[in-house]
Amino acid sequence: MTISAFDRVAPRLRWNDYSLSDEQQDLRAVTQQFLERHCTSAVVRAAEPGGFDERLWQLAGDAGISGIGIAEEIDGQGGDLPELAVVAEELGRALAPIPLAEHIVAVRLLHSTGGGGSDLAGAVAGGLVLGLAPLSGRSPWPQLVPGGAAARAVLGLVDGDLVLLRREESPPLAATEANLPLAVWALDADTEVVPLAAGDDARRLWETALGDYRVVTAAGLVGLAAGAVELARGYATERSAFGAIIGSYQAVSHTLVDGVMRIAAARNLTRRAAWYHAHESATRPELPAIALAHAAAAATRWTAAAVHVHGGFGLTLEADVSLYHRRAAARGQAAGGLREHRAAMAPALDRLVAARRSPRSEETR
Amino acid sequence: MNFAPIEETPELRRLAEEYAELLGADWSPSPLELSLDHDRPDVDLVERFAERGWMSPENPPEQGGAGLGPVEARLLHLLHDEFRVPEYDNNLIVPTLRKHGSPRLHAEILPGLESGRATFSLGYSEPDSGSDMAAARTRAVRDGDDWVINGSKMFTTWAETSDYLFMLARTGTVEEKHAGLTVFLVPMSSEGIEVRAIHVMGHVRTNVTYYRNVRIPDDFRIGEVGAGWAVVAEPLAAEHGAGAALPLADLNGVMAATFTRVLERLVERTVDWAVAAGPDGTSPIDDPEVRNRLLDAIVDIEVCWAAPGDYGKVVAAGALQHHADRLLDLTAPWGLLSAGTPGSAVDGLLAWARDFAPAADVYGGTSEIYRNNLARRSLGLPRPR
Repeated sequence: MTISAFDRVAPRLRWNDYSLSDEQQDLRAVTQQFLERHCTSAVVRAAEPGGFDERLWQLAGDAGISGIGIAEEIDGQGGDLPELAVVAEELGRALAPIPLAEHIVAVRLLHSTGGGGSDLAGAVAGGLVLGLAPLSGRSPWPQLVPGGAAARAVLGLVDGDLVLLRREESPPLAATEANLPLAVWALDADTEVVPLAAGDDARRLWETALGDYRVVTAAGLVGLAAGAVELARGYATERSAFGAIIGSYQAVSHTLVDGVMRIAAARNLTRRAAWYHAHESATRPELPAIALAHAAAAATRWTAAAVHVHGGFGLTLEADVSLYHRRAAARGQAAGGLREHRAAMAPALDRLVAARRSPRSEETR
Repeated sequence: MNFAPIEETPELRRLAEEYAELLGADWSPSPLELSLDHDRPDVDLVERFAERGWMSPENPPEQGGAGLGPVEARLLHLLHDEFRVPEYDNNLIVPTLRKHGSPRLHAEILPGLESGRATFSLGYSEPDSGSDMAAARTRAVRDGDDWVINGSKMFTTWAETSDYLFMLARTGTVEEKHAGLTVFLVPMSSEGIEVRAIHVMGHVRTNVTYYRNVRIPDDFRIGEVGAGWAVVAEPLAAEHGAGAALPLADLNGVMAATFTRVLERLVERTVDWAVAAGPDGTSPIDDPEVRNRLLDAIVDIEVCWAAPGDYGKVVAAGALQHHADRLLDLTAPWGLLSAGTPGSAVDGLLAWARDFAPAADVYGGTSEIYRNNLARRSLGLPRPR
């Protein structure tokens, strides 16, 4: 049997559009304006060490930003993962001390299970902070939960079942140099366990939520890295050394070009992952993990480069760029590092292996 | 954001069938063929494509094209890639020739270049100047209605078969730098041209070409005398950027897309090696180190496709070099053996790729030139020192 010429190339005959729609551009602009007004670097510093600013959380709810990516039937603003990624990137750029992206992913998951008897509308309105235990399908409890120090309800897998964990009070902050609202959640006496789904249903819903989580985390890291490099670019246009603006030296300017352009690639890759996960997750199930693996590496690398461009000044806690550096690793690795990301992207290699093992591998490439 | 499949139509299917018929039933590209962007199809194939206007399928028929839409053109591009048919057209210089060329050039030369039957080589670099193009010293001197050219051009790839050379020559003084340059379309059949082969790593042939009292009519001048820098800026922008208006083309640009496809094929061929069982029944793919290196390459391939066009070549060139090294190391020692040598792994392709890869960072302008341009244009930084 020979495959027709058309069918040989059909899988690659696709649109290749990375641009934002007019609505998505408006969403980005509105989010930027909100954060410029309410999330200055002073606000970020004031939220340390807990990493959670309750006032900013309320304001984001009032402004409707907390409803992006959430269905209108539960009082959300509508939109899907690509829109949520747009918002997550801006939250990352501003280092917003609210676990909003994780919360929205958890709300989407909870909604897809029917809600488990919890107050979904309340969660959408911002009254209840939700979290997600991304590694709960891979390693036993207790789990380190991003946003877990602000959350009173967390979704995760327990023995393959999808459950909602509820507590009267959030667990204590798990301290990091990053000052993120991380906390350890355990299956202890203070934690109520509400079953949501079991078996294949649980696995399927959880994989969807994990893909969402990886995409919004990647988007946040893209924003974070872009914010740091933008600070470095600004510094390089003002600071002089040896009688010249330092941005005129190739050692500095080429570093900045590489940073800006490689972060742009990470942004595009994240957008592609968001689109596929929202529309065709079975075709490329590995893309969210690939986007996250790359964004996590890019964020650590380019925030470090951005500090370096600032010289000694960049090392100081007064320099905003140090705020970025201290958060870059934790934001990308709170749900595990490259080891976890590689495990999640395995389908890409497995598919290639299967295709090459098939008898007509020469024809299919 | 839209990455949806393009809807299948009977017309698209027919186009693909016509393409397959044109290649012939016995067309089976060698698995060693990776298709590099400096490859050219043979004359017979060019004629078959040119008859259909497929060398520049999107151009209107009166300009040698087939008037196809962007979707059809994309399909042809993917078919070329699938069947390892080298792509070639003259679109880098045709718009410039159309804009600046003399009436004689329009009448006698342009149709051949538009159809793709005629070919050209670039004549920018010289033995003493590469990325610093404006330092060109090859001299053109006016003599009545003619110009007399003396000098030499370096890396004039395909000069041994090309019909023309798109030459940047000095008509003013060296001190004038950019202002003393003029562009000519030099017929390679002119008296006084010598083409001498230069072999570069990766079994690629290029040339150095010498011009001794080469006489060409003023009709072959492109643009005003002294306007050469502005004239070459147009094809340079096309060479460096993606430039496609419709969201169909590869985002990272033509050169980067080619390097990325080469890397994809290296990974596929390395997977072939990795899944084969050795004498003890185990396969390299069972080794986590092998899986991790392949996964790292898979990540970087996705990054290459997502890199912005004016920087895509820098990313793809870096990825090709990095992973050619890493994958060759993975298959060592058998991957070191050349194709056809008993015991050779991956047909020696990884060793070949490692030798070829440095060129990716150099030709079409070094990566440093790309960074210099972007530092000023995109980042608003001062002129680099």
